[in-house]
Amino acid sequence: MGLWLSLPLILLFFTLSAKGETITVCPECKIKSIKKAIDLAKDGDTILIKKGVYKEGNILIKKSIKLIGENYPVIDGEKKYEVITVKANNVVIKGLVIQNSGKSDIEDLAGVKFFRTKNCRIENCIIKNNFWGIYFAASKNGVIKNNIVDGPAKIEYLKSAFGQTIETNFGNGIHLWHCKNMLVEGNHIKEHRDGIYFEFVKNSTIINNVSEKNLRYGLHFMFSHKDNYINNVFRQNGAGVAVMYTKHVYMANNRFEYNWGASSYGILLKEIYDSYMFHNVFYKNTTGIFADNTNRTVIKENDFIENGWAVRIWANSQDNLFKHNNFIANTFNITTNSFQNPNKYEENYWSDYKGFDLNRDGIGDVPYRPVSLFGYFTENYPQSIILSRSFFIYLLDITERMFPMLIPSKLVDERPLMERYRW
Amino acid sequence: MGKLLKYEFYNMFRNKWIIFYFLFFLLLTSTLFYFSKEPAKVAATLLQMVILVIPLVSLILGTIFMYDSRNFIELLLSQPIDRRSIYIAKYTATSLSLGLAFVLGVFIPYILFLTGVEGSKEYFLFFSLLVSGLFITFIFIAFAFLIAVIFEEKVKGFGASLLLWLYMTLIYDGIILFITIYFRDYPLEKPVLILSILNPVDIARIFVILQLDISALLGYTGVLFKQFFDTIMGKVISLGVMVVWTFIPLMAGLWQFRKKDF
Repeated sequence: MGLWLSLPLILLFFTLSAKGETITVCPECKIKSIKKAIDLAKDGDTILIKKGVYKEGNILIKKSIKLIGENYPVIDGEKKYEVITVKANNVVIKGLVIQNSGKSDIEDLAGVKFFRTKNCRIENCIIKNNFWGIYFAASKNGVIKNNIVDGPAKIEYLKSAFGQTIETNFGNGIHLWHCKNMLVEGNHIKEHRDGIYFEFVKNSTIINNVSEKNLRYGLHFMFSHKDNYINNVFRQNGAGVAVMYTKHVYMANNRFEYNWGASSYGILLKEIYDSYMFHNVFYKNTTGIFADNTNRTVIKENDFIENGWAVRIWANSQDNLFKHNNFIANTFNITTNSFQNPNKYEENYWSDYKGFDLNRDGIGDVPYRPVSLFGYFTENYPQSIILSRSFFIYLLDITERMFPMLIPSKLVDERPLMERYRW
Repeated sequence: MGKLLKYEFYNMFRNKWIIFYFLFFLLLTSTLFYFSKEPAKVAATLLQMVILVIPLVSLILGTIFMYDSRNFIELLLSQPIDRRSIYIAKYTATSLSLGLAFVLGVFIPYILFLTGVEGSKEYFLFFSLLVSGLFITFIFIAFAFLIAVIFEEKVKGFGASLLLWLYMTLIYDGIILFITIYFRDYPLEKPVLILSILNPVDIARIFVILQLDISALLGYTGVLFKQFFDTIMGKVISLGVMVVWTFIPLMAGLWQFRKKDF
């Protein structure tokens, strides 16, 4: 907490001590071109860009300057160039519309690319119709805040897989590669390939973002240890959210909703160790959590509501703890391909629990088996999904829960809650 | 024919079974809405009624009515009346009044509680529920009449009704499950789809789960089922199967009735 309070103060100190001159750019001014203004500027100067459309090819920034837009000037890459490239520290970009970057199979042309930078900020910008949106590579202490990142990729393009419009023809909204101590806050990303992409990004935070309607993942997250993502909404993404090959991730207060499709997950956890999921809501996804080789992760106080499969957990996932979660009106609560149960389920609320509570301590007296026989059938014989809600299946489920033979008999919640856990 | 129909309807509306049946659905739906306030959850419970209770009640009441009116039918047959009109009039009156009792019993509470519901109103879900329930009534009344005409003895008739009910609601789904497990190495989507279309109870169920379990149906092979039933083609085919299922037992019963020696 102390760090967060002192950071703005330190920044304020820097801005006060290194106050430079202001160079104004506008179509009617003496200086009409941003490039020229950058040529004239020294480290610490501010370039104020007034309303207008600027088509200047690739704008390269190699000085520590501020690029501030007034009334959202438009900087256009004419579908040929990378719009802005930053290769200096302490650069601030604020209040611009950055649009129409070029497209390339060799280079990752972006709306704004930061390469080997420190302490750079991009704030309140509208990043529109670019190949890649905001791109940070090999950077430290960057801030991406309150931007709207709106891409050209629509779901229907995916359908013509043999035409020009396949997944790889689109870039990611916010792409971070090999970074440290980054903050991604309050952005709205839609219609890119991956909304937010993290690879080798450490000690960073993703907070208050909305990522929706992306072709592939709302958040794609790999080899990024000790990161937090909090308060985000991931909605209607082609494949939901993927968090992979990572240790110590803290995931809290996120909403995962309407991620529909055969390979679409609220969240896909692959090779995740020692992580923590807290107060997330999974609503109407085909699969809420899909855990493949996820270990020692605590999943606590989350809501799983009206999903097809609330949790699909594979046998290679061990020592996870599910506690105080609410499983409400899911078609399947838990499915697994294992006969053993290497995980712990305790004190969750299961809306289809039929037990009783004689001593009225709020905990059911009869253990609950979250894996249904029908869940086992659909996991192994997918076509049997058509028998959902059949009376026959209902009878089979009841008898199987009394005398488990096919479902893992150790997978049991010994202390199911009688009422929804309030958090 | 008109007079016969009028009399049969009059007879049905005096019948206490029909009143019970109507009150049952009225009370059930009202209670469900009172406790749940979410139309989707109410529909989930009502679905079990549609695929279990309606076939059973239609079969049992249908056979009871037919056996009970045997004397009256014999009386009518002594008059110069076409056998077909007697049978059709009786079928129309019975199936329409049972169907109406179900539709009103569900629809009145639904409309009344509609203002107080939270979330989605689920118009289409309830529409498909009502239509499915109506068709299931028509189909199973037709079967009940067929059974009552074939078997002279009441006990045999009830036994056959129960067997048919067990077959349609339980055994058939068991067979489908067996097939998916036994032939798991083959691409089974289409055969399973065709098999489930052939059973009217399964069609009714699938129409409702298409909206209730939409998240799950969008995974794996479920997509194929959804794609089929969501097209106009799929809907027309399934409605067509319902109509065919109504006419097969109805025509068979009529044929039996006409050549039957009373």
